[in-house]
Amino acid sequence: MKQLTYLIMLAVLIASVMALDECRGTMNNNEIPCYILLPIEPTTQICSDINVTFYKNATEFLYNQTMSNFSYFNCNATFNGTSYGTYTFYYTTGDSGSIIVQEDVDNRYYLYLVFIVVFLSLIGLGYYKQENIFVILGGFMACAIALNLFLNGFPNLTNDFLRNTISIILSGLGFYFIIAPSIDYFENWRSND
Amino acid sequence: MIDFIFFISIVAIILLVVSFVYRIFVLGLISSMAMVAIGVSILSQGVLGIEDILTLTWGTIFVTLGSYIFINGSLEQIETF
Repeated sequence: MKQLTYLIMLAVLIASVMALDECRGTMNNNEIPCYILLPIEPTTQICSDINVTFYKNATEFLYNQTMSNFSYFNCNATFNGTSYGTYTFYYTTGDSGSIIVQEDVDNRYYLYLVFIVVFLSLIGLGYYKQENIFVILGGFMACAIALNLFLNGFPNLTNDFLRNTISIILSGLGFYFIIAPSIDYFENWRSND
Repeated sequence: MIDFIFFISIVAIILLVVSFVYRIFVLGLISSMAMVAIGVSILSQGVLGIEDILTLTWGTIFVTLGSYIFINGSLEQIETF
C-alpha cells in the first residue's frame, strides 16, 4: 500500500517536459507554436542582435521578436500564428522564410464522425420514440453532410466519381428522412380534421 | 488526440439516448442543456478554426434539438404535477 502511494505521488509530481518542434514549411495549426531556426556564424554574429518580423499574407504585420541562442550555430525565435494562411518572416540579416498554416485533417475526420453519431442517434431516437422532428433533423444532417462533401470534398479523397456518388446517396437519404415524416404528419393532420 | 468539443458532443448525445431509453428525466434535461451550450459555442466560435456548412448545421441542430427537448420535457413534467 505504501509503495502504491509513493508510485501515485511520483506520477503526480513527476515533471512533465514539453519541447517545441522546429517549424516546417507547412504546419498543422495544432503543431504551433514552433521554433524557427537561423544558422549563424558564431564568431561574427550574436543572436540578440538579430530581430525577426512576422507578417501574415506578406502584408499584415504581426509582431517583432529578438532571437535567442538555440545552439552554438543556431538562433531561434518562436512562431505562434495559429490561424490558417501563409506567414512570412524577415530577419534583420536579410534572410526570409515562409510558413503555411493549414487545417489539421484529423479534425475533419472527427467532425464527420460526430455528425454520423448524431445522425444515427437522431434517426434511432426518432423511430424509437415516434418523434418525427428527430427524424427530420437527422435528415437535415444527412443533407448537410452531402452538401459539404459535394462542395469541399473529403480529406485525401481524390476520386470525384466516388465523392459525387456518396453525395447523391446521402442527399437522397436526407431528403427521404425529411419528406417521409412530414408527409406522415400532414396525413394525420388532415385525417384529424 | 480527440478534442474536447468532439468528446463532449458525443457524451451529450449518448446521455440523451440513455435518458430516453431508460426514461431518466433529469439526465435528459442535463444533456439537452449541454447540447444548447455546445451549439451556441459552435455557432459563435466554430470548431477548432473550422467554420463551414458542417459546423453551422451542427450548431443549429444542437441548439434546436436541445431547446425542443428541454422545453417539451419540462412542459410534460409540469403537466404531471
